Amino acid sequence: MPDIPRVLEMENAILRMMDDIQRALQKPVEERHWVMVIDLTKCVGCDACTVACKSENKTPPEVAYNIVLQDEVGKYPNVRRVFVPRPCMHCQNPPCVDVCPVGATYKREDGIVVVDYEVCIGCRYCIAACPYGARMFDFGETYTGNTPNPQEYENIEFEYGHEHNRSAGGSPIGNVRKCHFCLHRLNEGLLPACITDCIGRARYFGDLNDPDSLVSELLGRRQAFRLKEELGTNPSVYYLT
Amino acid sequence: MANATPMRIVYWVVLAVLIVAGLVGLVQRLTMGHEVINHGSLIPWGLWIVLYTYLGGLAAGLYVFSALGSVFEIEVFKPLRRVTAVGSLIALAAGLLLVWFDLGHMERFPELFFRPSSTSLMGRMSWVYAGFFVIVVVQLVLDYGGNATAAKWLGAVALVLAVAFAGTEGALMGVLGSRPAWNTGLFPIRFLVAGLVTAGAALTFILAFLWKAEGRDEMLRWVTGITLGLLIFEALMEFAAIETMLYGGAPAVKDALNLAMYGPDSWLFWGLQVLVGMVIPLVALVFFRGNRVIVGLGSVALMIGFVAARSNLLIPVLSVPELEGITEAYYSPRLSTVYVPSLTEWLVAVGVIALGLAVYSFLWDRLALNQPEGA
Repeated sequence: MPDIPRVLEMENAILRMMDDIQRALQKPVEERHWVMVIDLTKCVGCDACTVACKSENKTPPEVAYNIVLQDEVGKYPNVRRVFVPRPCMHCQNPPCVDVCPVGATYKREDGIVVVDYEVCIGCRYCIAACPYGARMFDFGETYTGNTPNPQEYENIEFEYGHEHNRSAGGSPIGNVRKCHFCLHRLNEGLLPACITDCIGRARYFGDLNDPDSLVSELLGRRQAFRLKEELGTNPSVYYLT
Repeated sequence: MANATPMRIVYWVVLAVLIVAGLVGLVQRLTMGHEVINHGSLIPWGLWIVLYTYLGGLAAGLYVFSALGSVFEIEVFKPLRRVTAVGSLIALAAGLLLVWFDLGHMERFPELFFRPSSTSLMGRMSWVYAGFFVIVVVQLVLDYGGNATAAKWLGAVALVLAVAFAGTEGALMGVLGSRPAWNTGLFPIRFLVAGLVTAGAALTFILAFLWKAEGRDEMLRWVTGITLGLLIFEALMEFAAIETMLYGGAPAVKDALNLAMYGPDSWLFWGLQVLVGMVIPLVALVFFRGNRVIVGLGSVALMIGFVAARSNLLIPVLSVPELEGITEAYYSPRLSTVYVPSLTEWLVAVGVIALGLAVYSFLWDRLALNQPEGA
C-alpha cells in the first residue's frame, strides 16, 4: 500500500477515506461492503465527477457511468436547483444480475456489481432491468473518429485492471458498461476518481462494515436516503440531505 | 419449382430481391457493428426485438394449432398439423436469427447454452427454444415416417414448450420491476394470446389463398371462428390493460401509455394496431365470414397490425427514462427517448422475413405440406 504523505491536516476527508480503504483492504473481501455517500447539500452540479469518470475510464461519447441529474424546485421567483449525482447504485439485490442470461454481470463479495467483458454477449437485458438507467451500451464510437482517425489514447483503457483495446473492435465494444467504483484504483488503495475530483467534497467512499470509517460515521450522524428504495434493490449509494 | 406460373416467378423474384437487400444490411451490421443500428442505452431494443417477439409468438401459436391435429387428434385439424408445425419452426428460426444479429457479440451466442444463468429467463429460454426445435423436427420425421403415436407424444412435449416460450417472452419483460408498465401478471398471457391470434390469421391466410385440398371450407370455418374468438379476447385484454394503466396513476405507466396513444408515433397505435390489426379483421371475420377473399385479406391486416401491437408494447415503455432528467444530464444521441429504425435494421428485418418465406415456400412443395394424405 502507498505511504500516504501527511501534507494536510489529519481531518482531511480524502486522507481519512484513504486510511479507511487501506484498513478495509486488510480484511477478507467478503467482510467489506463498499458504499458511496453523496452529500446533496454540498453538490453544486459542476459535473467534475462526470468528467473525472470519463477521463479515468476512457468511456466513449455514448457512455457515461456517472451523470448529475438536475431539477428545479419551487415556483418563480422562489426557485432553486437541486443536483443529484447518479453513479451505479451497486444494489445488494441487483436486478441486472438476475436477468443476465450468461452470468456476465455479477455482484462481488464486497458488494461491487461488475461486468465480465469477455463473457457479456451484449443482449442489453440488464439495461432494461436497471431501475436507475446506470448501464450503457458501447456502440464503438469515439470522440476523435472524424479527425479523421481515432486517436490512440481513446483505444486503450484499463478497467477492472485489464488492458482493453477498442481499436480492434473487440470488448468492451458491443458490451454493456457501467460504473464499477473504479475497482482498478480501489485495488491499489486509491479512491474512485469521482471522489477525489469532487470540488465541493460532496462525495465520500468507504467500507460500511467498518464502524470507524467516514462513511459509517456520516450515515450514523446524518439523514440519508437511497433512490427507489421501494423496489427493494438495496442500493449501496446513499444521499445525505 | 413446380407450376412456374408468372405469379410464382414474380413471387420468387421479389423474395430474391428482398433477401439480397437483407444481405446488404447484414454486411453493414457485420462490418460496422452497432454503429449502424439506431437503438440506444435508454431504448436498448428496437425493430429486431419487436419482430423477434412477434415471430416467437407466431411460432408458438402455429404450433398450438398443429397440436390440435397431432396431439388432440381433432379431425378437422389433422391435415393442418404439418403446415403449421413447419411454419412454427421457420417463424421461430427467423425470430432467433434477428436476436442473433442484435447481440453485441454475435460470436458469443454459444455462451447461452454453455453457461446459462438459472435466474435469467433469457438464459432458460435458449434451452427451451433448442429443445422445441429438436423435438418438432424429430416429430415431423416420425410423422412422415408413419409413426403417429411417437409423433403424438413428442408433440405433447413440444406443445408445453411452445406455450412456455410464448408466455416467457412476455415474462421476460413482465418480471422487470424497473418498468412498471410491464410489471404485471397479465403480460405473459397477453404475449401468448397475441401469438395465438397472429397464428390464427396466418392459418386463415393459408387456407383462404393457398390450400387446394378438399375440406378447406370446413377448416376455414373452424380457424376463422377460433381466430375471431381470440381476437375479441385480445381486444378485451388490451382494453383491461389500458384501463388499469390509465387509472392506476403511476406516472411511468401513464407516460408510456400516453406516448403510445398520443405521442408522435400514435399512428402505430390508432392506425395500425387498432384499425388495421383489430377493426378491419373484426369486420372481415364477423360480417364477411363466407367470403374467402375478404377473410384472407382481413387476416393479412391482422398480421400487419399485430407487429405494431408488439412495437407499442415495447418501445413506448422503454422511451420513458427510469429517472427524470437523464436525457438532460448527459447529451448523447444514444440517450434519446425517440427510436426510429435505421435503414440497416429495415433491410435485415425484411431480408430475414423474406428468407423465412422462401424456405417455407420451398418446403411447401418439397414436403407436400398442403397434401392431406397421412392425416
